[in-house]
Amino acid sequence: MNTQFRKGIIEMCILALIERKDMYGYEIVQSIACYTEINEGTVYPILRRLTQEEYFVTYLKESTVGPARKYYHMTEKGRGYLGSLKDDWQDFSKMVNDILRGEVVE
Amino acid sequence: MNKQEYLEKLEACLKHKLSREEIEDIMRDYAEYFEEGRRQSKQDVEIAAKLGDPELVAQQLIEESAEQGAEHYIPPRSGEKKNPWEAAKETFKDLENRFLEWDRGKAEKSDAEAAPPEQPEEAPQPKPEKEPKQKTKKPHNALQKLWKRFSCSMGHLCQWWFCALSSVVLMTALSCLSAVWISLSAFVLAVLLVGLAGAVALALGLLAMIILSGVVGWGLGTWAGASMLFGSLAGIGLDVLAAMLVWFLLKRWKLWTARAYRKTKGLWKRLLHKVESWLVTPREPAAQETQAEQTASQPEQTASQPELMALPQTTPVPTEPAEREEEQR
Repeated sequence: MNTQFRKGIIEMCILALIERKDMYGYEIVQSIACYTEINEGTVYPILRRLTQEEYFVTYLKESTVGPARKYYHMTEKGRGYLGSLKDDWQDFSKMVNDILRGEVVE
Repeated sequence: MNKQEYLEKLEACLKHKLSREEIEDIMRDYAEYFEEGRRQSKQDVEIAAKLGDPELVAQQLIEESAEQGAEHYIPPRSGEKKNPWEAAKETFKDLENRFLEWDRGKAEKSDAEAAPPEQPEEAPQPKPEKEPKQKTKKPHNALQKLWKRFSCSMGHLCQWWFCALSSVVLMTALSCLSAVWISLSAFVLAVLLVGLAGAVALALGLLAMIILSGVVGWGLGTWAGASMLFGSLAGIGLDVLAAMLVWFLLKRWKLWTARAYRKTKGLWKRLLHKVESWLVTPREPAAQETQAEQTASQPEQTASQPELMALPQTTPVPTEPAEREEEQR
């Protein structure tokens, strides 16, 4: 799959996961990795960019075992962005599916 | 590749391309990732393999950072360099920008002042008036640009010169110190070795005296022989004690010098890195570099393609003799 396209999809998945609850890096990576094969190193760059764009805020939380974990929390701006992404995705996937079905019928 | 190696490689790839704070933050993130993986009883090698090549990860981090920078304006990374020349250059640039803005504002004002008397009926009229003004501005701008470039390069030159000079001074000082240190340690080592050799020679001499004491005792009387025997025995005892002391000192010295050597080595390494970072100034925009890297990596890909194409052609070759043999049978 096109890496740029894949990156966009993974970005949306990350946003969708963090919308549900605050998560830390490893947790996010594993949550996506259990659905699909991903290059785990690519998640952090996306997380950093989304944080810089103020879709997330981060905070450190002490863990009972091992070092503190950096948690990502979604901001209102992030929620808005995810909403627009979701809409775009629905439209796009519907369009693609229509075309694919059309091809099968013909 | 273990955690340490992975993080070091990643850091090396990011150096000079992102700010120090950013790199530290990234290092923290990836260290946390390794720790979490270890907690799930995964091997470092496994985690590193899943993360992917650190060079690629670094490239992605830089790209994402550049992408972000294209969408939103980030102020120039102040954390990277805090030397006075850079600051002076920045303030100069700022002043110049302000002046240009002010100048432009004034020019527009004068245009606006010039326009009203001619009434809005003739709208296209102000245009020809603006053009000559821009024309007269052009040489001014070119001069300004030249001046700007000149001052920037002078700033760079001075900065470079200052850094080179200070690095030479530092290196010379450290070289002198190192030389003094090496000669001192060699001297002490030589003294201790001579002491040890002396102790051994003394012990041999005293042993010879024990044998001699028998001859002396036979020739001069028992008492003289006995006193010589006991004297040399006591001498040997003392000598062994002294030799042990020297041996102990030698061991300590070796330990101490090894530690000091390691420390000075670290110091040298750090100094060289520092000098390198001074003299090889980082190029600021990461976007250009990533583009250059992309263009550089493309020929590699195209170069590897012929190899891939060549593989299927070569593989059938070994099967041919086998087929021939079968045919012969």
